[in-house]
Amino acid sequence: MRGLLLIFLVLLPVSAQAWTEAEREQILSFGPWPPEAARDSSNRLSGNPAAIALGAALFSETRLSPGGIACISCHQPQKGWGDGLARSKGMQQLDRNAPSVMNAHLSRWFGWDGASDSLWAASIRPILDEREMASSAERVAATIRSDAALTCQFEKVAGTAPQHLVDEAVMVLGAKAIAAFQETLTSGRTPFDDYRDALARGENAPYPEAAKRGLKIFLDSACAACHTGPSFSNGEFHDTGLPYFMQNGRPDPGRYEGIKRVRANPYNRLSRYSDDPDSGFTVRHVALLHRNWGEFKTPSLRNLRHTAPYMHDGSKATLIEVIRHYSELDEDRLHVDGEAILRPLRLDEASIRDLAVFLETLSASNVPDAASLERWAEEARKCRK
Amino acid sequence: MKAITLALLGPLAASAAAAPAGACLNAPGTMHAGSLAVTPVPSPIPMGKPFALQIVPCNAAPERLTVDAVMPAHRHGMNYHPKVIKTKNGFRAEGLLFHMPGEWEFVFDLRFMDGRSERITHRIVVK
Repeated sequence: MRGLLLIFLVLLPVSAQAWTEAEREQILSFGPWPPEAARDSSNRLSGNPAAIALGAALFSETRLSPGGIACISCHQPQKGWGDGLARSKGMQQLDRNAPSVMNAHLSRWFGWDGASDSLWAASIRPILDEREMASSAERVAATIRSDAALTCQFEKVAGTAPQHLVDEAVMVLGAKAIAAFQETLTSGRTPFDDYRDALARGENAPYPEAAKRGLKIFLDSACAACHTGPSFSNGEFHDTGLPYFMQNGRPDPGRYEGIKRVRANPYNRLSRYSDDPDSGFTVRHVALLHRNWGEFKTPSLRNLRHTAPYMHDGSKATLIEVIRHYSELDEDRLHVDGEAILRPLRLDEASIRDLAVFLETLSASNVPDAASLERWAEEARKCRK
Repeated sequence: MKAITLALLGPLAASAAAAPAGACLNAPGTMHAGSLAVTPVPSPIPMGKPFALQIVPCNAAPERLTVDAVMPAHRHGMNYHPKVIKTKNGFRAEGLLFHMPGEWEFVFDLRFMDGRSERITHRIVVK
C-alpha cells in the first residue's frame, strides 16, 4: 500500500499541478474576466448607445480618407481587430504592426509608443497621420455633414447639428464616438478564466496539463513581471531586445518619441477637448527617461490566436517564434543602463511547447465580430429626422 | 550615492518596525520610514494605479522634500515624476504609480533650513 502511495505521489506533479499560496495568489490576479465596464471620464460620449452607433458607422467609413482608408482597414473584425500584416499599410507602408483594438479601452496608454492617453485621442491620430488616413478635421466634418444619416445621428449624440460646430469640434466628437464604439469590443471568457475562477472557488476545472506546466513557466520567469493583471499587460513600456532599426534603416525611438508626442498632443487629457482634465494624471506626471529609447508597450496576451503576427514590428509570425526570441534573447542588445528584467529563458523544446499551449488558453472563442459592428452601424445609418 | 543609500538601509529597516516618538499620525496603513510617517492614499498601494502619499515628519520638519521610488531588483524606477506639495501637517506627494509587482524602495530626500540633508529609504512589497 505504501509503495503504491509513493508511486502515486511521484506521478502527482505530472498529472495535477499543485500551486503554492503565492502562485495561487498570482494566478488569481489575472482575473476576474471580463472586468467591470468603466466609462472614460475624458469622453462624455463613453457608454452612450447613440454615440456607439455613430462610432460604429464612422469606424468603417471610407470617405473619411482621400485614399479610402477607414479604421476598419487596419482593424478588421475577422483578423482579431488587427490586419494580419507584419507592418500595417495605410496611405503608405507603415513601420509597426497594427495592434488589435479588442480590449484596448482597458489601457492607460494607446499605440505601441503610447503617443495617446485616451482612446478618442488614439482615434484622431491615424485620421490626421499622412501615412495612415491622411485626412483632416475639414474632411471628417464635411463627410458627416454631407451624409443625412450621419448628420442625423451626430445631432442625436451632440445635441446640435454638425453644421453649427467648427470642423475640429466635429472631428473630436466623431473620434469620441469611435472610441465609444471601441469600448464595446471586449473579448469573451477563455479556458484560462474558467480555470482561474475554479481555483478562486477552491475547485478543480478541466485545464490541459501542458497549459498548467506552461503557466508555471510563465509565473517563474520574467514574463509575469510585465504581463500582469486581467489584461496580461502592465500597460507600460519595455525594451524587448528586438532590433532598433526598421526596414528602411532608420531607428524606431518607440516610447521616447511617444512621450514627447503625447505631451505635445493638442488632444490629450489636459487639452480643452478633454471632458475631464483632472483625469490627466498620466500625461501630467509621465517621465521622459533615456531608457525609454526603443521601449514599446507591453501588449495584452489575450486573444493571441486571433492577432498574429506579433511584436511591435510584426517580426514574429507565430507564438513559438516569440517564445524562442525570449528563450534565446540577445542580452548584448539590451540597454546597458536599462532595466534588469529580461534574461534568456533558455527553455527546452518541450517547455517552449508548454508555454505556447498556456498562451493559447488565453484566447476566447467568443470575440466581437463584424456582425456586432454592423448591428451598431445599422442603427446610425437608419437615422432620419 | 548608492553606497550611502545602502548604508542607511540597515538602521532604517529597524526604525521602520517601531513607531517613532513625536506627534506623528498613525492612520491605518501608515508606514514609519525613519523620521517620517507615510500614509499611502489609497491604502494599500494598488498595483498599476496612481496613488499619493501623505508624509508627516515626526521630528524637525524639512524645508524641502522630494520623493522617488525604485525597484532595486529590476534596476529601474517609476515611469512617473511625483510632485510634492506642502500641507498643514507636512507634505503630500502626488503622481506615483507602481507599474510592476515586487519590491519597491521609496527614496525620500529631505533638506533642512540649516543646510543639512538626509536621505531616507523604505522598502515595501507590492502585489
